[in-house]
Amino acid sequence: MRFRFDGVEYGAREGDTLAAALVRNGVVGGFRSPYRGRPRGVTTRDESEPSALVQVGARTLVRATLLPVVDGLEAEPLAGKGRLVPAARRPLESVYAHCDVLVVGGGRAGRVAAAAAQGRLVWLDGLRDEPELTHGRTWAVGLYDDNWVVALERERRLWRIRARRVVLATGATERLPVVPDNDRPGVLVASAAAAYEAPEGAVVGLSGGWTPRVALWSQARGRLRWDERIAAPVPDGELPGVECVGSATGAGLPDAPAWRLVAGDEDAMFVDLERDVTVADLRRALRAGLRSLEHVKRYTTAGTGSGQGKLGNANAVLVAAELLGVEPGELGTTTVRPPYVPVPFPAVAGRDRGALFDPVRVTPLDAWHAAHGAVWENVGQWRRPRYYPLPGEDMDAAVARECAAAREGVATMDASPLGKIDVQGPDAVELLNRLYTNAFDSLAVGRCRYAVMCTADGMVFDDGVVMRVGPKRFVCTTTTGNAAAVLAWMEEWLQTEWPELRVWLTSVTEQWATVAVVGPGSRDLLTPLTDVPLGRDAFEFMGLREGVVAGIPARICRVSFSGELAFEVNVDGRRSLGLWEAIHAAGDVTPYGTEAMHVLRAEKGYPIVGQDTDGTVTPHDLGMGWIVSRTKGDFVGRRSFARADTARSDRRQLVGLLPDALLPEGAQVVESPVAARAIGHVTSSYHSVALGRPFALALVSDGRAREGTRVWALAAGGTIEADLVGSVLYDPEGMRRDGVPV
Amino acid sequence: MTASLSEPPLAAQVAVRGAPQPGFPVAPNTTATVEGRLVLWLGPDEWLVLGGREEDFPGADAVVDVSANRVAFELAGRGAADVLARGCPLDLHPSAFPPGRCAQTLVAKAQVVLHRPEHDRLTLLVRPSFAPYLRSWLDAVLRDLEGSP
Repeated sequence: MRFRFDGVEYGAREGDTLAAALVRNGVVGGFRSPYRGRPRGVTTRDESEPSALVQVGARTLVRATLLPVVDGLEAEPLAGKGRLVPAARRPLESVYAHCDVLVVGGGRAGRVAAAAAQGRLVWLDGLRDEPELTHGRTWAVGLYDDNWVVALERERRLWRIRARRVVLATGATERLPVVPDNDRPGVLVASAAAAYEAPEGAVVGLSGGWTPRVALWSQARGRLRWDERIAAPVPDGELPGVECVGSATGAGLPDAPAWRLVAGDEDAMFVDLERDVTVADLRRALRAGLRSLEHVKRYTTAGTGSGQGKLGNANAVLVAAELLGVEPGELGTTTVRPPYVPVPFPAVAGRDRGALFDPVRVTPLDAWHAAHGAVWENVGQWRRPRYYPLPGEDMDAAVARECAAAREGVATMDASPLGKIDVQGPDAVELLNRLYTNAFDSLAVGRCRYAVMCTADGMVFDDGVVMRVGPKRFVCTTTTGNAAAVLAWMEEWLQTEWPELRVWLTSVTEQWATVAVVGPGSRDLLTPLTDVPLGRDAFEFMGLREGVVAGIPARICRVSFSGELAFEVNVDGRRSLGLWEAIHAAGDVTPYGTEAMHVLRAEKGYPIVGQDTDGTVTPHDLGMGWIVSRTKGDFVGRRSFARADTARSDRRQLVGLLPDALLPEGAQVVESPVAARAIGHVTSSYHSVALGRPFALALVSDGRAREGTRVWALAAGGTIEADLVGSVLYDPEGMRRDGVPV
Repeated sequence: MTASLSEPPLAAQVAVRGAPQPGFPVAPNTTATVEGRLVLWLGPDEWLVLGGREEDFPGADAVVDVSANRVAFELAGRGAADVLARGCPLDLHPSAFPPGRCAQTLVAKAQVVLHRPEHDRLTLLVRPSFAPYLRSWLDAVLRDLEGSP
């Protein structure tokens, strides 16, 4: 096999690591230290390697001691710092596994443990690749609560393993003695010097003793104690379900060489080669008054390299203890944290990248929207049409056309992502009374009610329409982005506070697709399609009817989020395309997206929870004090309305702004062009076709009392003047909701 | 050792809540067949019945037609559990998840109701809005497993 290192070609044998091949070829140097630029070379034969780090294509900080040579390998030496190379890589796998016994380590103790294991076995080793192992060349990088082990198999896949029992047979690693010039190329730990086939006289082996690999034990909060015989920390005490065996416990390791700091150039006595930290650096840290090893670590950076001080940490304890004149055991050790070996980010990301980074949720009408040129907007995880531009239209033109259609003709919106919760049971009314601010006893079957839900601090949490579909049955709608949170909120109260209530909640968000048919022409358009009488007296505002639309069983609500006459038609999600197409075939119908929906509702001063509210806004602040019942019993948030801060009159209140130019959303509102203190901010801002001008909604301190005054909004580099007005800017008398002649 | 993916049609689904109806499974994450319909235990007071209508359960505390609430994917073949191991944290070994078992869990980032009708067959019930995402994810895993060591 041939490979290239630093541009020079060499030969290698089957099974060689890059480190073994380099040393056999007499390349004992070839690397540089990160900060001082000292010549360095291969020092170890395992994951504790501090110096022989290489770049292989897009892979960085690869330890030459862990890299198998393949024919044609090209490796570049790195001086302690990695290099990110953007590269299109196949996604790495992430795999879950489960076992009765997980053995980490394929050495002698690991073999014994694996042979004795009962049940399902996972047996892995980072260095070895023997066929008996279930996972060769696989590093256990993290041991978490309840024996949750994360392991990296080569650079191919990340394993997430749940094990009933974990056996740590991780062995020990040899360290360098702390002597002058212990970082010179050709100076190796003794076991590595003996194992590599170096040319005669090319390397010298030194041993500073052996350090048990206790990282996983320590990660899992296992205690450590200093073992004087081997001069290293060993596992102490017990961990449920975790066991250390073999030399990982210190057992069977040779005695450490007698330790004493030798006289010599302390600036060339390296403790952590990977960070160029020497005895002189440690002495400086202690002279500065640092005593805790954790502080010394941060001051000197010893142990903070990508190898986390596997080679040098025990030496750092020995040196610090001697300089302080204390026993090493008194100093303790630094905390070990995952990952044990570096994990490439692509392995962490796994398949959660590109198109699969996050689910894109689509409605049953998604293909229709796509075929009709929808420009998308992400709403939570949902993909929704923002607008449908005709050829040559930009967003402003398309939105203006869609708004005009809703105000003057017929327009439809796919409102299917609205959250929907079926509430059923004899205590359904009671649950709704306790969770919403308004009361539901008086809501008749076949009627809808707009409703607001607050958190316990009295702030608006969500809003929607509650339909009474039966004596003991309701369907509540939620805002699109909040559907899961509202259901979880309702379940939390029901299950933890009011388990005695006999009521059950079921998400029916996707059971029902919702098509909003909006505009003064909507009644005439739908009438031939349905058996439900739609006349203004037969089907009152906030009424609810069941019937058939375009041959499809439907639940129709006469609600409006635009101020216009509107019917929201709910049908089985699987049949919604048929409904949508029948409506579009019945006349001149304009589909509209979320942008026009926003403009239409803002013109009417209808707030959007999460846009015009931010968790600090009460129903009263929104001008909706009428929705907070004063007569029914207790409900979530009620107590807070009596708090002085919630009840004061000068809170930020929702108002309308009529500015001289379109305002940026989020702009601060001030009392004069030179005022320094903001009195509020813009929450929604659009251009209105119906008003023929830009307008905005804003939350302004004591806003309702300021109606009729002039304010200024800070916009890029200056101010824009605006009239502060009420929040309902279009059809304030509500004349249009029952329809007007087309 | 791979698996084949299909999207079997689902006729009707009914959520039944409250006290268990006659024949319903009461052991967590198990299933039973009642009057020819598969009943999945989803919670101490929650079952999903495949087939039927709301009117079929007059004695239940709450009944909801959820026929459009989920669609099905089916993985068949000896590698079916291996496919799901790429995104499902549950232990699907036959000793831990034998035929007849069901569970509510995650596959990648999609919530699913998982059911094992037979040893080498796994059914995933998922919200229709998540179906394109889950299909893409399953296809990607199947593609990779075909060519991997």
